[in-house]
Amino acid sequence: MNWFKHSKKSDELDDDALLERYRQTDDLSFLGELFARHAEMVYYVCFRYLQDGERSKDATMQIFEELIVKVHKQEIKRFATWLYVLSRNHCLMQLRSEKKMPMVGMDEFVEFPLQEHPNDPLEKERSLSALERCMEKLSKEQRDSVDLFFLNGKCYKEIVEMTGYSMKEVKSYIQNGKRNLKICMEKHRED
Amino acid sequence: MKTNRPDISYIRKYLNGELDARAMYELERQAQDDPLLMDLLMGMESATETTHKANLLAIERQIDRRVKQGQRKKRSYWKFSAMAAAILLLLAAGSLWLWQMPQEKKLIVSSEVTEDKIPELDSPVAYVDSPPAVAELKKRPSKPKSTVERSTDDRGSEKAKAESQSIQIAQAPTTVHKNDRNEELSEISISPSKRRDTMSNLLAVRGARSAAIRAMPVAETPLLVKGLVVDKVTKEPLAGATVQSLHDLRSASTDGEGRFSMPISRRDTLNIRYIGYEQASAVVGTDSVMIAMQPSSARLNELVAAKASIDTVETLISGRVAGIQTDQKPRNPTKKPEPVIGWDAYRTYLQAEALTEGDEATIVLTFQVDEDGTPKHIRIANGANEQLNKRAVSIVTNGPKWFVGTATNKVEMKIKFNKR
Repeated sequence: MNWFKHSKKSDELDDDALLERYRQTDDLSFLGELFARHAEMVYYVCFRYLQDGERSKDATMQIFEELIVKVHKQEIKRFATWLYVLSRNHCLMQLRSEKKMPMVGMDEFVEFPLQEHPNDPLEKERSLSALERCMEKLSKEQRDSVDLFFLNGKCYKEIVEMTGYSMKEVKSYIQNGKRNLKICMEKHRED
Repeated sequence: MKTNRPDISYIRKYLNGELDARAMYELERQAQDDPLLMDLLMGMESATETTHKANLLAIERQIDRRVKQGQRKKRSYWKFSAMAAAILLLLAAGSLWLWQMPQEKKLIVSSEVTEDKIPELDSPVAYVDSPPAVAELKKRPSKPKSTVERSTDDRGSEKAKAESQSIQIAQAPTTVHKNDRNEELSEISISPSKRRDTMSNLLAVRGARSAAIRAMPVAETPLLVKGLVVDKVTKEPLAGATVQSLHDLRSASTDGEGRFSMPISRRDTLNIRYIGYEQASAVVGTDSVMIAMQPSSARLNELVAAKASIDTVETLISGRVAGIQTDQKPRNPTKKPEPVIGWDAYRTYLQAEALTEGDEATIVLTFQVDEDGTPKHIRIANGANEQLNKRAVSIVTNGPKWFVGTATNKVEMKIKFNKR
């Protein structure tokens, strides 16, 4: 039943098929191949959190070990997404166990996007005016950056050229502006 | 199915500036809504492409190795059962031997274990290879223990050794004093000290093991004791310590690796002195001995030092010994890292650097000290504004180097910014 094992065909198998094959045969080469496909992603995600090559390498291999165990226990629908969540949690746990505090500054975790506009036109109107008011409350730098990025569709590089802020500043203005906006909007909704 | 894999080469193009403004915006906007993409972007831009490539290559190789290892493990399952059987056999032989020990000795061993107040593995200042180990060696002089052990280099036998070791360690020097046995003696030498981060109990086990390996029975010769003197806290060997026999007042001093050897009469007591350490004494029944020296503290007398748990002592000794160690490597006998220039000077440095135009603020940050003594992974635990946070990070980064701590390499520190 292992006649695919060393044939070229496994290259063409998709993630789900490889996963299934590993579950059936327990042959680590299938899981290894599957993981190798995504190892680059896992490594970069680790690097984003751990900010260190050695640690990211180690973490990647630890995640592989974790994978070997968890693959049998959990139902996996979309492997890439699932592996991403596993990797991120692994790194966050590692950071948390080192110090019970989150990182700040440029390492700040990405916040999730603004609420999409609701269907109800009245609601939409209200949230738009709330957005406007909240935009006013932002600092000039944040307002400019958020406005150019989210509302005018300019890329970071263009914003850098237009405003004279550095790339780092633009990124942090967008992140922080977005977060402040979100907080402000939520407050409005409660009022 | 491959479609739900993010296109890393596309992101690479983005980072290399090969995309036009529209495409860059698309990717940036998408990343705002897709944490996976955002993490990838941030991870990729955190280091150069060449660094990443080297690491990825290493990972690829490791995965490969791991996969092959896994397959080998699976196939050679029977080998494990064979090994397990061998271990069991060894254990059985060991317990048989224990039963055959003379009744008197068994009594002594058990009474020592129960009456002793410090069975904690690393607490006695000095401990001595136990009589049971020697007895074992005597039992089979033609077949040294080493061969048995080497053939089954496995955790099981390690465990068995650890067990017998716990009996040895539980012997406090004072109790050893009472027994007058060990008629025959064998020549044993102890291994040089291990790295400073090794636990002392591990050290003891290894020392005893290597002693057992080299054991060769030599009857009726004057006892030449070989020993090793180490710092109890750091496990570093101590060179130039004075070792004196209380029996004939002969003395010797330790060499560069903390080792000494001297002829002694049977059941002698050795006194060991070293500047900056509590005087230690060890009762020598066999011919190898390891002495762990307690860094000195005004509040501890010798007897207390012998029994104090490692924790209480460590809080008292902070930094006192640093002055007499003259190694090139940054070395630090205390648990926590500390500035190479000392805390006082470091505080002065902070005061001079942490000045601000704006309001006063206190920033708490944490970092790790790497092997070179450089602060790494600096994180703000409790920050003020971004500007001050960055300043605090750069003050630490550009500041003096640190001694690595023995227990931890993490530091939590407060920096107070005063008005200029």
